[in-house]
Amino acid sequence: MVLDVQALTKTFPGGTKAVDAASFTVRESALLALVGESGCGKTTTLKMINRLLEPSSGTVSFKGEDVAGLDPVMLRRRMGWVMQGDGLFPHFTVAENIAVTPRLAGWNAERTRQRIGVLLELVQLDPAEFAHRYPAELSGGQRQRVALARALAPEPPLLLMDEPFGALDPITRDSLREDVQALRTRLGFAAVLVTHDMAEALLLADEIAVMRDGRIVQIGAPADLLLRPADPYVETLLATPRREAERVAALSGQG
Amino acid sequence: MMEALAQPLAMLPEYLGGHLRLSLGAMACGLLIALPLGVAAARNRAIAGPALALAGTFQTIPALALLALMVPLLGGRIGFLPAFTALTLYAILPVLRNTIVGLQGVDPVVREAARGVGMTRVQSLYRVELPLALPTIMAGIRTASIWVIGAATLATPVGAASLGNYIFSGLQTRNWTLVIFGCVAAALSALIIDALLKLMESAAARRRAGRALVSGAGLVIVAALALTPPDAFSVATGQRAGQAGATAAAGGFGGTPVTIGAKAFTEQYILAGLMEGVLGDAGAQARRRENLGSTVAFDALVSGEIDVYVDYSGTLWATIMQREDMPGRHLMLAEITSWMWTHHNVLVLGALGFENAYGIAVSRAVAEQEGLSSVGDLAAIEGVSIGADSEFFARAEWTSLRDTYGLGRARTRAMDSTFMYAAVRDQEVDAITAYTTDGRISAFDLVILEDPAGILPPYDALILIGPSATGRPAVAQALAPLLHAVNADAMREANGVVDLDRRPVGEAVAILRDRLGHGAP
Repeated sequence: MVLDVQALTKTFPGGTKAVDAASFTVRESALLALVGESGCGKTTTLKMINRLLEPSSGTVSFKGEDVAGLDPVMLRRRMGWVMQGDGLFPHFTVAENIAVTPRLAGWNAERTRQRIGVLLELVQLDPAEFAHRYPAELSGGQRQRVALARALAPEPPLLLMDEPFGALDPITRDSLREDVQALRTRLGFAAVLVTHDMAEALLLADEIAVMRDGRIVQIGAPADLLLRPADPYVETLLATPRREAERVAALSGQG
Repeated sequence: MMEALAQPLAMLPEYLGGHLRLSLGAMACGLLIALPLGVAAARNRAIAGPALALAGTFQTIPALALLALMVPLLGGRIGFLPAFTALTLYAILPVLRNTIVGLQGVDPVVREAARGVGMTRVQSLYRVELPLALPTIMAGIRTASIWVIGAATLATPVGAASLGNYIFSGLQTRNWTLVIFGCVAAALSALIIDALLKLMESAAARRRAGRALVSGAGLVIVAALALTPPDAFSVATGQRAGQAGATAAAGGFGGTPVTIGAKAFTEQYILAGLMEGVLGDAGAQARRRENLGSTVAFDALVSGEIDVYVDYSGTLWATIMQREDMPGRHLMLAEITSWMWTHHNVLVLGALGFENAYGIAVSRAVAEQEGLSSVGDLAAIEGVSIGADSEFFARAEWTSLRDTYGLGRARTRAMDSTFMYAAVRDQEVDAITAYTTDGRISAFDLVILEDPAGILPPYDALILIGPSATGRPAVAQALAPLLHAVNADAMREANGVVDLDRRPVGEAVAILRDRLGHGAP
């Protein structure tokens, strides 16, 4: 088990309970999607995993170790992090952005350089063309690919993604989703994906945790959710993907 | 043209070196304070508010006043230290403000990304936040450097050599070549430093090694220029100093040079030159600190920064001793002498023999037309205007003059003493408070009005010897022949050589020494 989250709770000063006793696990190479509306506590949950936020109570175990006992800086270098908006460093080139964590980890120049080449190939950017560009010289999709490559640079066993495809147009978004799946197959990392888009979760996840008002209301494989939604809220989230699928099926049947 | 520039050019190594030393030193020190403070303040509002308020307060104090205030605050020290301190305070605000603004302007997403990829706070600061804030911070540094290089010209009145020496001397002796020379040199320095900083910034932003090298080398050259002793530029100067040093030991001056102070007007330059010559003849190594502010000079004497200078009994009485009563010339002199010795260990060696008093002067034409003979007659002129140096209107003498002669409705116009004589000649003002030894009184056909109530105190020129030199009797001995040797006519003539004939101060000194029978060696 890569990640074991138990009764994780975050109470902000003022008494708001952003996350209330969330528990879930992530297996080796599996992708867990945290799905819910804005403000349901999914991003807060994600940030407690790599200790960008400290939990009020509950535990997070990463590869069997309680993260509370680890140095947060060292912990973050062992987890990939892709954030809302690309979060690239605008004063670094593509290659330098990808090299950030390897350099912090003290890799030698040759190993870092090779890793940059491999990663750019993996996210389908030609190293010769893109390595020396600055983020401002890239499209939104290209930037998000670089962010993905940066997160994967130190060969992390776990990738944390916070709405990584939110700001992209549908075609670019789709192609990036495919890339993430291909990379998972190839590199075998586990992942936690935060999204408000149930269709995206159904496409990518091995397991989906639905969050509402800080609590996990249902957790299970995509098929489980579709067959046995636990409550009307989960059903509401599933309504749109269902309608889309039925419409596409109906139209295809006619053709 | 070349001849006119030869004199200022000869002084350039000393003045430019002093100027660069001051401004670069103050910039470096200001950066050392402002950058860490800005970094701390950007993360902590509790620091940002007070730090910006304090730095802003220093900025609102006019540079000239801030520089002058540093002299008493630093216990009467003049020269580099007070100027350096004031300019450092001046450099802080733009750098501090821009560091805070620049760091707070870094996109929070990028800051979070830095934490998310596993940077420590320090790594995030050095690798991400500071580089991204750099253009804003550099803009602050460039603003500060231009301010500081400009304000360093005001270091002259607190006794630090700078390009301001050209400007102040030029203004006082109406030598416009000197003034323009000083301004152009200061402006060029500011432009060159600014260009180097700009180059350095673009080198850092675009990581061009070539530009970094050029700008770095440029700053090193400027710094080296600033740190090279001025003697190194002129072999002749070095030899002269060496010879003077050798004879000084023999002359009983204890081997240390005698520092002569001078305030910022022609007569003071001439008298300093005169004393320098007399001391030099006696075997002392003498040097001058000119263009000191009026009270700065006395503070400097008490603290030992200068050893000797000439001040005027009326000034000492009113400004230093804060006395308002008028006991009459001889009693006043006796009281000053004893007060100086008991309070400050300052020896009043004696009077030079002339009086440079304030006198209310009008043009002869106006005097005849309006029938003016005494100061009180001015009250009869509708809307009468009086010009004086800014110091005068702040003195008790003006208050009593105004109240005694009914000048309460007179319009007062403070102006530089250089300009007031022409102003009264051209009838831009009706009367001025002239210095009675000024050569322009006779040249412009001005008449001094009577002061029947005896309000204006006597202004006998006195040689003051500071505590640092009273232990070296050779100083007093060397200067003693000057006592009662310079009468008002001689002084007026010497002043006229500079102010009217536009000749160098050295020439006026030579003429005065000739007249005293100490021909130039």
